[in-house]
Amino acid sequence: MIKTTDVVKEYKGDIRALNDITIDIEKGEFVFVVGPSGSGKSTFLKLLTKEEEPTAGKVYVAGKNLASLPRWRVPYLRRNVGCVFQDFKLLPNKTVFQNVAFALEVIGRPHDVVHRQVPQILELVGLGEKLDRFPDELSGGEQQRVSIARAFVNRPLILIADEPTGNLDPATSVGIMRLLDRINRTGTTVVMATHDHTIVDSMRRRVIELENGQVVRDQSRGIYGVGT
Amino acid sequence: MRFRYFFSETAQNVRRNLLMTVAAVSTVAISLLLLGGVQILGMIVKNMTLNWQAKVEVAVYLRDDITHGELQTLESQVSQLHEVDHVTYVSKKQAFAEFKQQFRTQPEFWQSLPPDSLPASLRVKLTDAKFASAVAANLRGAPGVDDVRYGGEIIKRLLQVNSLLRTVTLVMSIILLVAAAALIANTIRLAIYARRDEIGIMKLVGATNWFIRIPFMLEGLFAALVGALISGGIVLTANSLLFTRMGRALPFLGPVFDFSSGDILAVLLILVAVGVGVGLVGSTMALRRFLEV
Repeated sequence: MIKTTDVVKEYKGDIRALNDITIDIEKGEFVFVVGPSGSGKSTFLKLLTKEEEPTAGKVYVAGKNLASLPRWRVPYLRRNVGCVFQDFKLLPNKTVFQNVAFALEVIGRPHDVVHRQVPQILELVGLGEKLDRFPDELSGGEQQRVSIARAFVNRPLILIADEPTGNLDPATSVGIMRLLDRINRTGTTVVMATHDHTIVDSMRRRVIELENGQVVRDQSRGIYGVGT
Repeated sequence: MRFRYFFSETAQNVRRNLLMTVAAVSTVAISLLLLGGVQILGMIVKNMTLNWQAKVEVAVYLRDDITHGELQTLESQVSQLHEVDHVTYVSKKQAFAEFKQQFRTQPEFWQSLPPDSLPASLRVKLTDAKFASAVAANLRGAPGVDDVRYGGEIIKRLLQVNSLLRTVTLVMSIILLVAAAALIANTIRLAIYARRDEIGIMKLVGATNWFIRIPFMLEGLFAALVGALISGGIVLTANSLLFTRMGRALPFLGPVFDFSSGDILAVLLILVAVGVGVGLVGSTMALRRFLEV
């Protein structure tokens, strides 16, 4: 589903964010990408949506070589890759329903599809009762559920989450992880960057650890860090 | 559903930066009005030229001592020229009668003149006004001919003034149109800035660039089109109120303010087309750099 070979990413001024990353993620896997700040986690995730392009090496997503993907095809790639962020990125002037519906409307889904799928997905994330609330009327955990609903409403093949629990308290984080786990069980590949030890240790999923842009550990059913 | 989306997005944008939109619309309107002025000026001059050309004749003034034989030779010689439509002989008496008729309201002009003070002449009507100078040159200096006059000079002057006026107005309207495009671009940039979060999310969830661009382009087009309609409306009003009245008030100018509805329609079409072009250029200027993935 996701494959990178010898990926190098350099930013301006010879800053090497990623160095020789070779990773293979199967369909349906749940993968944690861990490591300290600046280790290259976010850069790695950005390669998967072609927000960033590698300086060297190849990135394949859903069987496609992203380097040879023309610019105009990038939006279609992104329809297959849902994204969730630490800061939710909800639109404050739209309701919960409108925020999720927006993601379908702007890729040209017809009205009736939008009105069928949005309540369904909000029911799935546990917000079936709060369709007409605005983001600032919701708790942080609820806002993150909305953003997950938005990322998943189009049923993408891959869900990318960049520190989705970074702004949430531990109890709320557990709920979010349950939700991501449920989404993973539908066959969606989930790649999640985090530095939350408790979550990684309790989930016992594949862990890829980055340090200074290099893979220092790739372990199935792993924990956050050896010796922590 | 898509059209409804585009329409409501565009309407929202226009409402959000109303002031910038008004500025852009009025600049488009003013610059297009100048452009329309250039067109109308051109039409007036065309009418004037046609009018004058129809009247152009070469007047061959005859010497008082011309003999009958010379006159006959001259007359037959002139009428044989293929540029010449027909020739009329105007005697001294007729010339004086015409003069009296022309200035019948100002008898002081002719009362003290002896009736034979005006020269006899041949009035040469041409098949086309452009032959005037050639025919005039040909006849100048022929036996019995005193002087040759024709209206060609006036036409030449008229055309010179016209081309100068057109150039000045055209340059001015081009400068204004560029300003209008820049204002439209600025309006759209503001709209984009106001909606940068939404655009970010649209890109994130895989909206195509065209889908994101269309509402902004529509906004630019809308502003330009409204400007074009305003200027078009002014042109139409001017035509029906001002020009027809001016034509009636200044009858001696001839039918210079009579424009066919086809001509007016052509002017309106040019205004709308240029307006739409300006809107597109402005939108493209604003949208070129944004949407970098």
